[in-house]
Amino acid sequence: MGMFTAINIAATGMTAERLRQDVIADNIANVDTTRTPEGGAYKRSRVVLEPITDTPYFRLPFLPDEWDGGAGNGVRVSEIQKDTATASRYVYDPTHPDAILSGPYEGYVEYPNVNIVTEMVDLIAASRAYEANAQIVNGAKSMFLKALEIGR
Amino acid sequence: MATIFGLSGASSVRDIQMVTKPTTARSLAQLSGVSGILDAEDGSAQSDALHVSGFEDAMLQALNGVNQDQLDASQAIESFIVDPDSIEAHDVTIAMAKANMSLNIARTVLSRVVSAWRDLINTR
Repeated sequence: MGMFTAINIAATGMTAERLRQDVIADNIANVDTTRTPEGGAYKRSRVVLEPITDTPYFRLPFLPDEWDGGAGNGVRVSEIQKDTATASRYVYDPTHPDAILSGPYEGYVEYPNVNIVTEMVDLIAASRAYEANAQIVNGAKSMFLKALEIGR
Repeated sequence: MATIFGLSGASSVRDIQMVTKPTTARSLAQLSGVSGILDAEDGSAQSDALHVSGFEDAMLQALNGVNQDQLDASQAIESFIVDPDSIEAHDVTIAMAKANMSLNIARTVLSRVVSAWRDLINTR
């Protein structure tokens, strides 16, 4: 428990939220992308977060659970995952160069499975979480200043 | 110091150059804004450099930590100015907050020590 533990943890949270914001920006920018190097329309990506643990995770077998760990080390991005579960949007537009030529979807264009409303809500959530982490930094600093005022 | 609190763009690189050099107690004290407190000990520290005293070592080590925080903040600001894509804005402000906090605690501890010393020499 150092002087800057809370601040360092909050910094990891802020970095993670910034990355979420970047990914949301990428999703929204690609809302109409119909061709990708992998083929097909763009798939929305999402950020998967995990706590930072000491690797390899070491734990004494004799240690009671209550004594294990203490405060964590913050958060990090585990992976940026492609959302393949959500269905793509299909829009009928036979003159589009990427229109599907045959099959049941003939004449339709496959658009990404990005929903602007979902992305906007995610953006609000990310920016609120970022603000919360910034508030942690400010709170840690004001607590520290209060400690310095003791006995003055 | 101006680079940390004032964000002055033009003079920052020169200030950082100046800050990276010193290692002695005197220059550490000067750049930490606590000059005049360690100056009195400076002569004795150089005359018997091999003599290890607990308080002095602890103080110098703490000041080194303070200096390192200042250097980190300066470097963060510098890279934010030179190449904004290389560093996040919150990392810069957090480095500045850390430098501010560690300097604050160093100043508080030193001023307490000095006021205790004044109390002692005013004993009559």
